[in-house]
Amino acid sequence: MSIHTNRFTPLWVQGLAALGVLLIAGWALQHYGDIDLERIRHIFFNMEVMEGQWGLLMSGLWITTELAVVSIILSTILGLLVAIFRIKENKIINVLLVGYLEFCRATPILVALIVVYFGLPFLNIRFSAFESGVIVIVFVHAAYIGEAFRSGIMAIHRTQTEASYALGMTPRQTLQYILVPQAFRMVLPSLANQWIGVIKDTAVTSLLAITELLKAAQIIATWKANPTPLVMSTFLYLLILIPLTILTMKLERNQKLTR
Amino acid sequence: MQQTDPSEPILRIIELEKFFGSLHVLKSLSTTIYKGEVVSVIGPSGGGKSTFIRCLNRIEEPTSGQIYFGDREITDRHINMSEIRRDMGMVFQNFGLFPHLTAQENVMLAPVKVRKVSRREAQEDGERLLKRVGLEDKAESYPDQLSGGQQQRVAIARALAMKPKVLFFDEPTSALDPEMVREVLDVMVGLVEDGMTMIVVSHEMSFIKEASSRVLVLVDGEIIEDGPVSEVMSGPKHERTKEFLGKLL
Amino acid sequence: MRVTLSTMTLGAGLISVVLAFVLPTDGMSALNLIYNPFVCILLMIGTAVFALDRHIPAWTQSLLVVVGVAYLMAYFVIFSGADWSLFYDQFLNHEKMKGHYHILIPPLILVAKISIYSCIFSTLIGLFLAVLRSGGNIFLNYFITGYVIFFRAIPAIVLVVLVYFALPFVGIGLVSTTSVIVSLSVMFGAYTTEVFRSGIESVHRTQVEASKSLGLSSWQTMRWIILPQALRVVIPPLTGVLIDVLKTTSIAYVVGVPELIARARQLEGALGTVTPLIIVSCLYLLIVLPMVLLSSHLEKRSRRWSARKAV
Repeated sequence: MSIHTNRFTPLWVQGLAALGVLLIAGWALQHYGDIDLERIRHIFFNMEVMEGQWGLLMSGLWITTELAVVSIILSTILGLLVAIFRIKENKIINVLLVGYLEFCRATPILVALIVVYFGLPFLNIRFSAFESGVIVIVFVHAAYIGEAFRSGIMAIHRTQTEASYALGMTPRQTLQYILVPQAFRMVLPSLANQWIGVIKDTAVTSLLAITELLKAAQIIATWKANPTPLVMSTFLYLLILIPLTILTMKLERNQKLTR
Repeated sequence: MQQTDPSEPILRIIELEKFFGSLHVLKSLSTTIYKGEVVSVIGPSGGGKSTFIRCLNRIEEPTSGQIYFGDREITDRHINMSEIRRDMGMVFQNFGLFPHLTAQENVMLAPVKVRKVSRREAQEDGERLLKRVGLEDKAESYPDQLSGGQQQRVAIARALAMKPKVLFFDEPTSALDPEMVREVLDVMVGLVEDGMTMIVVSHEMSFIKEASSRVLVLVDGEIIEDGPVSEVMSGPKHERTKEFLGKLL
Repeated sequence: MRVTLSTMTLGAGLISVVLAFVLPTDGMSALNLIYNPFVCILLMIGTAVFALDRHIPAWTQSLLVVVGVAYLMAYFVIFSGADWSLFYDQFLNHEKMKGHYHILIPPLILVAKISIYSCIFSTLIGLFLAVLRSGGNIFLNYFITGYVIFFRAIPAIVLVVLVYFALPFVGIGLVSTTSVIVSLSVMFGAYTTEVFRSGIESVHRTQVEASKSLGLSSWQTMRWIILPQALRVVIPPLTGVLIDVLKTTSIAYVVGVPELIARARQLEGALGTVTPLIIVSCLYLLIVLPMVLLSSHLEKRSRRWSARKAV
């Protein structure tokens, strides 16, 4: 199946649209600001402002990385566990898990973070900022990952499970050698999507008392009254996330074509 | 012809019942399979043949009744079927090969993981078995690179790798193009000549008449004929059998 | 007992639990590892693997899981020093909240307003760009793909902070609410573009050719053949994105929009209880859950529709 290239919008419409966008952009820049490259550099890419501050930014990056790596590993493991338990079709376990899944899918990460970090201390349960972030992010994303694994495992033809049992393999062996390896391949795009989501959600922990990348950038930016640190941190985020996003989109496309 | 040993029953089936919801698929089936027999199970579609054979290794759960494998009751709730199934082999209609493993790996997996055989020994056995089914040059191929007939032969080799005491065949050739049916049947005949106890659900008249020692006719969940091939084929006792055989021939 | 994967994980979990009770607890950071929820997870993995390997009846499996979850909760109670007696007073305090419930309504309306505007704009952007993309112009497509990649990659909170703090420096000073609406619309526009794009592509090429050969113009083909069918494919993932929009509006708190979380924390200071926060999280649940159910309902119905699709 080749990529769709049907000409629905004739060339002249496209040309007009492009022209329109350029005109609007030009007018906006003219009306709202001065198109002055030096000024733009001074505001957004001011390296003098950043001098001596890179250390703080880098330590923020390191903390973000720690958060992300720990959360990704834990949420994948938890998600796999959730999927395995869901497959067993035990009514009690199923009800518990579905309840957990729907709850996590419906709650915004920010709200959950604030409740865990600011609310629970009122009950004397104190989690550090790092722990709160990891707990919330892991639980929420494990729900999605669990669903992905489950649909992957269930998509594998039943005959393979039966053939595996017929050979005398236990359910655990069947999962380990037959079902999960195949499911992993099918599930990789959704998995990658969730991992990207984990990395993006680490930025939300800037609300808590932890100096990850975004918080570090905000601190410097407020102190120096210049948005350059924010721009720099955005670059850092994008440096990691854009290649990952492109990779994921390629994986998604690949999967659609091999259906 | 077959060398059956009437003193050694391998499978004893006693009043096997199976319901799918309110659908009564197997009605109080009782029979005994002896070592060395090659039993063909025939009958009209929906008569319960597949369900019957799948109950024998409890891939399908019987609703009631007992099945004895050797001297162990395998319908007991407490029994660990994974252990029992090591000595039973099953070949499926749609092959059931593991697509992410090569033919050789498919054959080796269970002996290594279940019987704890060393990799080297399993590899040698695997090569030997693939050679026996005529596919030694396809050892490194993946299932999607093999034809249907080749896949089914690998599936047979895979089942044999566990050195089973009995082999179940659930319509092994029904999903194959006619040209490939022969190659699979040839392998099955080879197994008969080696003395393997086999229960085969099939429509292939040539195999039924020439290779099997006994025929079970299953209609509407009941065994209406059970005897040596010659008897059943030439002089069936029931009208229904005559009807069915007439359509088949 | 044979040493297998399951016994190893189970053993490691049990050893850690024993150590946790036996070793002293003051200050040694290395020992804090044992108190971690990681131990619980290790135990649960061992339990899961163990429960799968042996022939264990269903009721024992449920029991094992319930025990595992209970262990996790007990961990909370014993090791975290939680004071559960405060639960009612802190989390569900009706007396203190009495008479103040209505304070939550204006922020709720504001959140609804932000969500609705963002949903509408992002849908329009997505539809527009997807249709534009189907035109096949290479340069335009690169531009649109670039836009999609950029806004799928950037974290929402980073974008909102940038728009609110950085843009004023070039003279574009947006009110917090507006900056949230703008950033969310533009960001989720990337997602809706992908959704509509896959919807348009899902319509079989033969239909386009058939319609063209009947004499329908490009626009008519799009209007009467492509879009109606694409719409059916598009509704489930689209509702997913819109639910995401709803959840992401909570980010508005970061830039000072007077929305639910902000108001809840004000009340918390005034009343001395965390109840408002709990109410707000329940509110989000109450709004989003029905939408999730609606979306899965629509998903099932759309499958029935596409089964009747003529190709």
